Amino acid sequence: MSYISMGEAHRRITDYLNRFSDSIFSQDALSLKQLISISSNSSSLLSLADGLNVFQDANRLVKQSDRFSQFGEIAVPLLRCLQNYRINRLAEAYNSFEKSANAFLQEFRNWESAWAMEALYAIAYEIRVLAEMADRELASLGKTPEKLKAAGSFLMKMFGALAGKGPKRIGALNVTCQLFKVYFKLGTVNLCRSVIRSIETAKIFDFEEFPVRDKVTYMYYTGRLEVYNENFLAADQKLEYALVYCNPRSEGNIRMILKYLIPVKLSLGIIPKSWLLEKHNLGEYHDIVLALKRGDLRLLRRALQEHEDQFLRSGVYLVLEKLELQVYQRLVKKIHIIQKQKDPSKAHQVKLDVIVKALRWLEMDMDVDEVECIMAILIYKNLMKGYFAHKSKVVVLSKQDPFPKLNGKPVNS
Amino acid sequence: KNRFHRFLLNNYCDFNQRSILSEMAAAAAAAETETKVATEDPKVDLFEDDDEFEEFELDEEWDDKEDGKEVTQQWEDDWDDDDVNDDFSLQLRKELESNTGAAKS
Repeated sequence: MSYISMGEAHRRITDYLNRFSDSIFSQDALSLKQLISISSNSSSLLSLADGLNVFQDANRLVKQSDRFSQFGEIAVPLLRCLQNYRINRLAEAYNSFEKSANAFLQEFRNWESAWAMEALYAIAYEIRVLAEMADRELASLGKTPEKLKAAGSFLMKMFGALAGKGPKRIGALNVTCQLFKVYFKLGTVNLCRSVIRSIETAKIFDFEEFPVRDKVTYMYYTGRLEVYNENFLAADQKLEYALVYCNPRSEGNIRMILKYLIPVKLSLGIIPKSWLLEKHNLGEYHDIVLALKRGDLRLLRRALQEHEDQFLRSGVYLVLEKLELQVYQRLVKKIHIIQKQKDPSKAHQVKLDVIVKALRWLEMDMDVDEVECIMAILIYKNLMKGYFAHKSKVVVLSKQDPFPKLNGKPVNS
Repeated sequence: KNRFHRFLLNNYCDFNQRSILSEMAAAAAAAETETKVATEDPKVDLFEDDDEFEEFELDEEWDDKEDGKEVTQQWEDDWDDDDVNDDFSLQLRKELESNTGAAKS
C-alpha cells in the first residue's frame, strides 16, 4: 500500500461517492457495476482502499452530504467491505458486502424500471465469490464455513425480487445460474429443484426471452443434473443446446459441456469423432469409445480404471461403467458376423462356449452360468433378439436384425 | 465374482440401490472426508465443483453457430457396422478358431 496524504485520501473517497451517486441518478448501470465489483481488483478500487485505510472515517463523509447519505445504507458497508477485503479480512468483507447487498436490493425493488439490472448481476456474482473466499478463510482457521450458504439464501431473496410480471423478470435466469454454482459447490444440488420449478413452470417466465448466455449456463447445469439422474434423453437435449449456443471462443466451457455430453451420447449409442476428443483435450474418453466400437470389454475395464479418479469426481463413472452392456452386445455381434462368414447356415446359433472362450481371451473369467445370465439380460433389454436354448446352451438369434441399434435411444431400463 | 455382481447391480438395481452406489463412488473419490451425506437424491455430492462454468462477460456477444453442419459432424451414429476386418476382430477370429474344432460345426 502506498503512502498518501489525508487530503488525497479524502479526495479519493469523495470522488468515489460522487461517481456512485451520479451513476444512480443518471441510471448508469455499467458505471455502478464497476464501483461495486469488489473482487475485480480494479486499480481505482485498490487506490480507493488505500484512501480508506488512511482516512478511517468514511462514514462521517457519507453522512455529511445529502447527496451521499441517500445511499448511505448501501455505500457505507460497501466501503467497509472494500477496506476489509484489502487487508485480507475476508469473512468480515463478506459480512459487510451482504449488508450492502441487502440495502441495494431494497432500493432496487423501489426502482420501477430494470435499469440497474447489470449492477444487480454484479452483486449476485460478487456475493458468491466473496462468500467462497470467506469460507476458505474460515476453513483455514478451523471454523465452520457458512458464508456460501448465506450467500445462497440472499440469492434466493434476490430471485424473489425478480419473479414478478415486470421487466425485471429478465434477470431471474442469471440469478438462478449463480444459485446453481453455489449449490453445486456446496454439494446441495437437491436445492436446485425449487428454483428450476419456478423457472420452468411459472407463467411469468418465457424461457426464450432470457439472454443467451444465461440460457447456455442454465442448460449446462440442468443438463448435468439429468446426467446424474440418468435421464439421458433430457440430458442430451439440454447439453446439446448448451453446446450449440455457447460462445465458440469459450473453450473452457465447451470442454466442460462435452465432458458430460459424451457419456450421454455413448449411452445413446452415438460416439464422438476422434477429432472432437483431441480438439478439446478429452483423451480420457478415447479408449472408452474404442472399446465400444470394438466390443472390447478388457479395454473398457482398463480405461475405467486408468481414469477412475477423473470419472468419479465428475460423477460420470457409473454412466460409463454401464456401457459394459453395450460392449457385450458389440462383442456378441462380432462373434455372430465371424461365424456367418464361415458358415452362414448355422451362424444364427451361437454356442455359449464360444462366448466364454472369447471372454476368457479378454481376461474375463466367467463361467457358463454367468454368461447365460448376461445373454438373458441382453435379450431382456432388447439389445439382442432371440432366445436362449438352455439345455443345449445355445443362443438362437433372430434371423432379422438380431442386434438392434440404439439409434439415439437409451437402453431399456 | 465381484465384477459379475456389479454388472447385475448396474442392470437390475433399483433407484435406492443406485443411490448407494453413487455414495460409494463419491466416498471413493474424495480421499478427504469432506463429502456431504447424500440426500434422497442419488447424486454424487462433491465439496468442490471441478466443472464450474466460467462466467460469460456481460457484454460478450456471439453469433449462433451458423454452420449447423459442424455440430452434426461431431458425432458418428453409423459406427456399429458389420465390418470385422479391423485388428481386434481378426484377433478375435483367430482366437475362436484356435484349439477346438468347434468353429467348424
